Amino acid sequence: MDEKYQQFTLFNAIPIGICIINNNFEIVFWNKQLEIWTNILAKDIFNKKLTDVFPNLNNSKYIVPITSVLNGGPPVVFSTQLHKSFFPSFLPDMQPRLLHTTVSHWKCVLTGEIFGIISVEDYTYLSYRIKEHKRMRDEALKEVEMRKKVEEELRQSEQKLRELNATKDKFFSIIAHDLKNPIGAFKNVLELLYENFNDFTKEEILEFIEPLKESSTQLFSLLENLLLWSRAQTGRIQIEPIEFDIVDLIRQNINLLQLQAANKQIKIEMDVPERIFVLADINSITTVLRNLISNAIKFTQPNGKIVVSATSKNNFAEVCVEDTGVGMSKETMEKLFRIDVHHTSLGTANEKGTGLGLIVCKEFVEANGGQIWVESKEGKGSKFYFTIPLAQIN
Amino acid sequence: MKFSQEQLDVVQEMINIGVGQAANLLNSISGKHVQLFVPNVKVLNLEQLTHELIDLGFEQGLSCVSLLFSGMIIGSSKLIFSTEQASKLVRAFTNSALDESDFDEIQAETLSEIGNIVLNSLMGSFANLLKTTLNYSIPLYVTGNIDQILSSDVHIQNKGLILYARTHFQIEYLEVKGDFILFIDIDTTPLLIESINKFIEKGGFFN
Repeated sequence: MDEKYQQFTLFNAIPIGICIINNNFEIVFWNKQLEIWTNILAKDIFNKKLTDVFPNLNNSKYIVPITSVLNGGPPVVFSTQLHKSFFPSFLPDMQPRLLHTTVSHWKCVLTGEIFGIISVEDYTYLSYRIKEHKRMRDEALKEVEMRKKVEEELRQSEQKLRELNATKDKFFSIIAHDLKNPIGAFKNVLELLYENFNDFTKEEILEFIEPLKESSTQLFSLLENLLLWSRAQTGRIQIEPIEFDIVDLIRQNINLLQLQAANKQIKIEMDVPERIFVLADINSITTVLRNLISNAIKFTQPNGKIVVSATSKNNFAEVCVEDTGVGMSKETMEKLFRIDVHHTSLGTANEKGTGLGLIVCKEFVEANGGQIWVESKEGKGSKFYFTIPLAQIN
Repeated sequence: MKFSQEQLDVVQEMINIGVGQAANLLNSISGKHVQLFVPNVKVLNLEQLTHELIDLGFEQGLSCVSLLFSGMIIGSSKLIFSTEQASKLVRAFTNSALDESDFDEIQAETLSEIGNIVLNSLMGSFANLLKTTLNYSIPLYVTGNIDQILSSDVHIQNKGLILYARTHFQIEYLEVKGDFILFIDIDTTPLLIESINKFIEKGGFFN
């Protein structure tokens, strides 16, 4: 090294790379840090032209700005992303080192000589740390997403369990009250008759049997619903859609329940077009219709009226069972289709119910791709609606 | 500090020459068609400048490349971007698909180079106008809100001259906007004005 450049050796004591060139582009200093990074020794390149040692710099995008700096212009920056190899340098694994380079102007006050100071900072490990930080951040985000997903699955599972538990409670409640009490009454009456049969007249015996006949009809209906519901719960109900005329099905069900309505002097009317073909499981829709019309009879005062109507709307048949009965409050309506809330009301003639009928209706309507809902006003009556898909025949 | 329209026209022309050179350099580095527009230069006070920067994106934080200079005139020049615009600009030059939240030190370093090219070209124009050589600092990259960026510059706090110009980068089909600000220390502002006047007296650009 030229003796006059000995002063630059202080740059051997700093952890950044320093190369100093004169205004002829000749290398006058090359510090230890650059020797380490490039494997090029200072003694081998002294007084050699920068562009001869590094031919990659023999390009106007380097020559022009460096010349400008040597002429007193502002410092120039060569960033790692836009200049991969100002001074080619590699890590032990042969990955390129990311070197951030700045070239600035320096004029020696003693000699007036102009120099270009090329300072080089190693951004490789910073880049690794940023990448690692981003990787960890992405993993943490993934973990958070996964936890959210698991929490949602747990929530859904908990909801399902709550419903199952409510189903079980409902089942036991029906067995405990709605089945046990009437069967208990049967037992008591039968025991009384058995033990004192000869003490009663035929008229008295008939008097005992008549309420049992009524009760057995209700019990049979309850058992039927219970059986259907339990089969639906265990997935043993097969929904087999076929094309059929819903108007005809409404007519059949009204005919079957006409007698029950007539006992309370209730009139059932139909407001339907000639026919509407639907695509649904006929057995489950029969259960729905029967339950809704039976309920309407139950909650309508004697001399009241029930209207069953049907229309076609947006690829669905909409059936409405409207009564002039007692109606319901908003709170009662909210409980109607829920398994987790026990709700049952006595009819206008003290008919008992289980609160199971509407739950079965909801399950069956939804299994057929439809919806069920209610509109009601206390003291005015209720309207139960359900929809099922129209058949293409229409 | 009042500037006549004629004086402002000279500054505007100097800036136009500077951005033309910057665009050429950016073209050669990126291999992309880069255009730079600086529609009009304004002389502002600190309050007006803050208002202009709020328009740029006060809420998001700002990225700023600064170059301090001394000599016949003393001051600093700055190129300021919102983080979103800075990210867009770096993405355009490096073809990387980073999003705004990924604007890190490596991208900031790239922005420093781009900002440095623009500032150097603009300062080169001013040095030509003054027919002098200025001494420059190493480019400085800072982030923060408006107050943090402005309060760190002694030349601004001295209530010197503030020349402001919105800067539009057009990189192929992408447009990025930033703000160029030149702060001249109050003590050396008369020298700048005197140099501009001399330039005009000598026939300006037609000389």
